[in-house]
Amino acid sequence: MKRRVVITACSAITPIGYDKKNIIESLRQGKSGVKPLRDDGLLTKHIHSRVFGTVDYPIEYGFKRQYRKTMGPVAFYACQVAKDVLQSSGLSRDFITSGRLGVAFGSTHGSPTVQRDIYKTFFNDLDSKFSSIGAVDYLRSMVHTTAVNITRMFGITGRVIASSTACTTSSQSIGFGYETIKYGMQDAMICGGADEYDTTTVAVFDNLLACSVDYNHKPHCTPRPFDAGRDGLVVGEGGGAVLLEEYESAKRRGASILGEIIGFGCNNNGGDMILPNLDGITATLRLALESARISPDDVDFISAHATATKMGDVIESQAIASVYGDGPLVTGLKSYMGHTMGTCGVIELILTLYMMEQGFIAPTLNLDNVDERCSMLRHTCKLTETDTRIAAIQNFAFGGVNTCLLIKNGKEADS
Amino acid sequence: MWAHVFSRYLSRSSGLVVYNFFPESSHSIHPVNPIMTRDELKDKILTILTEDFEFEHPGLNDNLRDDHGFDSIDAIELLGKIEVILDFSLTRDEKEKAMEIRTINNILDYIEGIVNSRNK
Repeated sequence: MKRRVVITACSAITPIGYDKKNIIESLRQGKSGVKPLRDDGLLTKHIHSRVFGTVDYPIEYGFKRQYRKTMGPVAFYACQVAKDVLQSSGLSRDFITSGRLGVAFGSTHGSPTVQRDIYKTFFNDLDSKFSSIGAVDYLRSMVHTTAVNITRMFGITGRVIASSTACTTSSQSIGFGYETIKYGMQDAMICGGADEYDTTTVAVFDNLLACSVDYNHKPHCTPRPFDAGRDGLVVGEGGGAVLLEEYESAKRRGASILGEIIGFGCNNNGGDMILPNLDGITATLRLALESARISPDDVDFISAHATATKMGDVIESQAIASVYGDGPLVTGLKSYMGHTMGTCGVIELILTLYMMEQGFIAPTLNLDNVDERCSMLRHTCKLTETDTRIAAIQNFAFGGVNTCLLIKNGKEADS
Repeated sequence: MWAHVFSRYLSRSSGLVVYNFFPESSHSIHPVNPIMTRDELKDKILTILTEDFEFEHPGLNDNLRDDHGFDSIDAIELLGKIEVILDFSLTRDEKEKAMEIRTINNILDYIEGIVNSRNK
């Protein structure tokens, strides 16, 4: 059994806005969500990179204590976007709790804020009579905390897939959710990812000399994917969710079709855990095309992983060029908000859906002088009004995990 | 209700026993002074339940689970707060005695029972 899988609702909390209107405005106006790195009172002073893709606007969560008690900051992002998609989907309570809806959701490493508090308590209070470590700290910080806080809050009883593969976390969630519906195991899946403000991740990339440091005093000028002056990635925070549904049942209930997942490629480099691998990435892009049964010429737009590291962008450019030539427009959406880690795949997919619906492609920010090693691609250097029929969302992670999702415009999918 | 709670959380097979960073067996049992009257204790528990557990209009004989949604996670949290009130760590046996608790009055009886048994 192979069934069509469509996207019927989406929501993203990003450094460039929460609701669709704000995000589209930021993309159209070239507004960056990269800000000075907030002081955490612990690691910040040791970190060279002082920029962060920041969610700095208030969010009215309104979650009852019954739910809040098992949630760290990452689960707040996750449950909020899940709530948004369920509310806008119009799915009945009966369906949501039927076992036919599942959740594929993850984060890079649970809640580092809660984990840090546990260790702080543990090492500060070793001689104390009582532990002030809460009974729920594990539930707040465990790797699958986002997925199961979503199931708990909404009474979802279907499958749980809790991918945690760093930068491919949410693109794997969407890909695995897609396959779960395609092959008939579930009729709908809430898919996505979230990652909270966390300096540990910044420190790790900083130590690897992979973080941007040259633009600390003008954060909006970094990251600079594909630009000759790029100097590394910028870590960010956020959350995003999409609701995937089997096409026929979505159509029957009159759901809005925002897009269709038509292919998913996923593999591993089988070697180095950090360095990007041309063969592995190229194979992933081809796997996705084979999965969708389309040719490279059918793809109009590529949302590149493009973290703005020195080698990553070059290897990705080579992979795109070998598979697609210079056909599709290519944008590095991380230029607007930095690298939101486990969330980046779902956020970049949602931004692509918005652009497809609105008939434009946003340019890569800060791409002033294309690195000649990346110049063989058709970069989006200015806002381009154009119809996009099929788009590719590419993401690659530490550990050598690669993903590529292929999506079709909602109007096309619905016709 | 708490039987369910403790069988789940204190069972050696539960896996969550790893959570017990400070095993109570490491603390000696010692006599304690009953520092509070029942009314003072009641006020303290009601404050905890309304402020920390967000109970609305708690009644002394309300069923904690049915009337206030108090669950297994809350039970573990409350035991930690009771230890702070008593200023000593509860033993495993003492914690397991909390399995019978259904109401706020039961909580007060439980705390008084612990204090009295330590002073025998």
